[in-house]
Amino acid sequence: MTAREQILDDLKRLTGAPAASQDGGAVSPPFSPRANVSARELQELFLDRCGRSRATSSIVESRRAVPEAIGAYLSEQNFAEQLIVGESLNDLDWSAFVRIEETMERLMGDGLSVVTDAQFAVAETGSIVAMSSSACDSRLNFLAETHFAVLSVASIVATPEDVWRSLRGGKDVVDMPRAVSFITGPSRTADIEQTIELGAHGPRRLHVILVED
Amino acid sequence: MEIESSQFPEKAAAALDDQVLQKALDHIKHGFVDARRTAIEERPDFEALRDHARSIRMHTLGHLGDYLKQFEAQVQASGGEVHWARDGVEAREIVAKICADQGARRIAKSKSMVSEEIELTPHLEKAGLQVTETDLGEYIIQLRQERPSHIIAPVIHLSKEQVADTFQEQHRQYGFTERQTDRAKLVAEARQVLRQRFLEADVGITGANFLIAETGSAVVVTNEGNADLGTSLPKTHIVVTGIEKVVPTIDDVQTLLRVLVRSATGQPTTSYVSYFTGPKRPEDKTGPEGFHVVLVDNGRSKLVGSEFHEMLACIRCGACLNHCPVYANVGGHAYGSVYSGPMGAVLTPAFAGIEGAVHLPNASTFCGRCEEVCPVRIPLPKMLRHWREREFAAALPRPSVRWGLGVWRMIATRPALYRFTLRIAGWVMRRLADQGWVKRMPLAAGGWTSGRDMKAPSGATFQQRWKSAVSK
Repeated sequence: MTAREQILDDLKRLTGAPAASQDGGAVSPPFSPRANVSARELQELFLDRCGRSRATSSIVESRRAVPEAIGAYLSEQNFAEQLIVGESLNDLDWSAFVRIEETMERLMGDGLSVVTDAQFAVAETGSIVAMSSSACDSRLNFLAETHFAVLSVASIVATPEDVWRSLRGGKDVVDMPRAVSFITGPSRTADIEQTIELGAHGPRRLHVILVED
Repeated sequence: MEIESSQFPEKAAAALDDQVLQKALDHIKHGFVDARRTAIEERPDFEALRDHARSIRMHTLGHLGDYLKQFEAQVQASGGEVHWARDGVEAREIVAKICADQGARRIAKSKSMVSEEIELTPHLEKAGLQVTETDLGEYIIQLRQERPSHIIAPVIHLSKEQVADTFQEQHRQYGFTERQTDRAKLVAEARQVLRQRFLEADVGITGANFLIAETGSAVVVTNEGNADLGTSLPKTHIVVTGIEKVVPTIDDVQTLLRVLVRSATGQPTTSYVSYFTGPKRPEDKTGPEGFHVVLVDNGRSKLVGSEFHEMLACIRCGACLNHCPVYANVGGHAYGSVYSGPMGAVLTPAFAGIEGAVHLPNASTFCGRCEEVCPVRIPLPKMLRHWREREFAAALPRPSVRWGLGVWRMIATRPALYRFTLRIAGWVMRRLADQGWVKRMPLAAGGWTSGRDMKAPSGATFQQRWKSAVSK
């Protein structure tokens, strides 16, 4: 008998026991997305939760203004104006920056600033959602020291369930990308004496740029 | 599963005397416990979420085989592979073979309690592989050659100074000559060392907080981002996890996540919640070429339908550890098992046998806080009592303990004899008391007073006062 056969066999036999079917009907989920929340309220809720997770944010009127917003952040923090730009943002004007190639040596080093697109944001948790795809090198989201996530205001949804609903596209089945990451604030650890330190492996700083149009 | 639980009494006594450990354990109260309370207060539907979470888990456990088959089919449909392991030995061999087939030499490993349970890392290292634990806590214990002392916070037993010592010793070879005592600098140093390991790894091994039957996905929850780095950079991703982790749908997982993180660390969510489904697609820019899930049984299926069935609902949040007065005083190492605290006291005998773990179900006052805080409402004290019953039936406790329990049963089942014995005991204690406190009690009761004074009973018993109140 293979391991698979034996395990499934044991489970079939033991699941028949009365103790295994203790709970009667399913309890329905208490959390349903609020129906009548305005886009404005969603945006405020998202920004509030996002801020609480120690990410920062700024709002721009259009995608074209993103490079300028990043430039302002970097010079305010006194960081070098050099960037790795995710492929999906190639069409914007990055002439004010030194564009860095994604070589192994550069990715190894610290002090990297990276800008990528986020596909969704979730107001319930203040998270941005990054999905693997043809236009997105998902490694960039996690290797940066400063991560700029560009997000359209229209992509802010209330709950993670809304993200899955969107991926279902009206069908029964969720069309899952290879990797979906809900990112809430910078990377952190509290392993040493239960005190939070940022920048454990992932970014030390997460800056969300909300695009209004 | 290898355990050292038979030494619990000695280790617990040593832990109580260990001032460094005691200071480290103090962090639990103002860390996890307070944070959880705050997080729950901010979520008025938390009790309803717990009910839903429990119902999802119990429903799944009643159909575990079917959901596992659905999960397997979905993984295969997305280009991944599923491997089944009856026990730890099989699981380790499967992982080693996958690594060997890939010609892998270096592994980046994220936190997985199942991998600790089956002692995966030593096995792979013996096979000549370099395994780096990338979760900071797990990395530190790897350097110190210790076991984790908490299922969520592996180095909760260490002080910052101990971490500084370890890094100073072990990082010298990488060119770090200064001893860092600043927490942020220690984390930064680890970040630098471990970054190299991520980029050099051939294989990334993770656990899974949940497996989703509907989509064939593995859900991994971290604050550090090490699972994301460890799975997007190497060519192969191996998920090692228990068969009980499967959940029917992706929406079900959301309820479980809502109670898991709040119960574990008091955060509304962790920095990274990631869903991994199969290997790189043709249209993906990057991703691992191989995706393997190793489903580990190792004693889990035996629990289905047993007295311990509900224990399989555990989502490994660690809340029971954080709220347990025993754990908070002796720490995790005293239990001699990777699973400690109340959940460990139930699981360790289940996986490793009660003979080697007799002390663990007895390391409890049944105060019930564990059950109160369990997000899926597992009746932990009841399960500990089941273990005590099994121990007694198997004649495992010492003869003196069994004799004592026999005497207790004789007295407690005879109300008149019970009341009489209490009156005698009260009289003796009042004779022994010094200003109301008894400092040394005779015979077996001396076990209590060796560590603390006992208040001598004063006034009438509850039954006497009840009787006189009722007769008025």
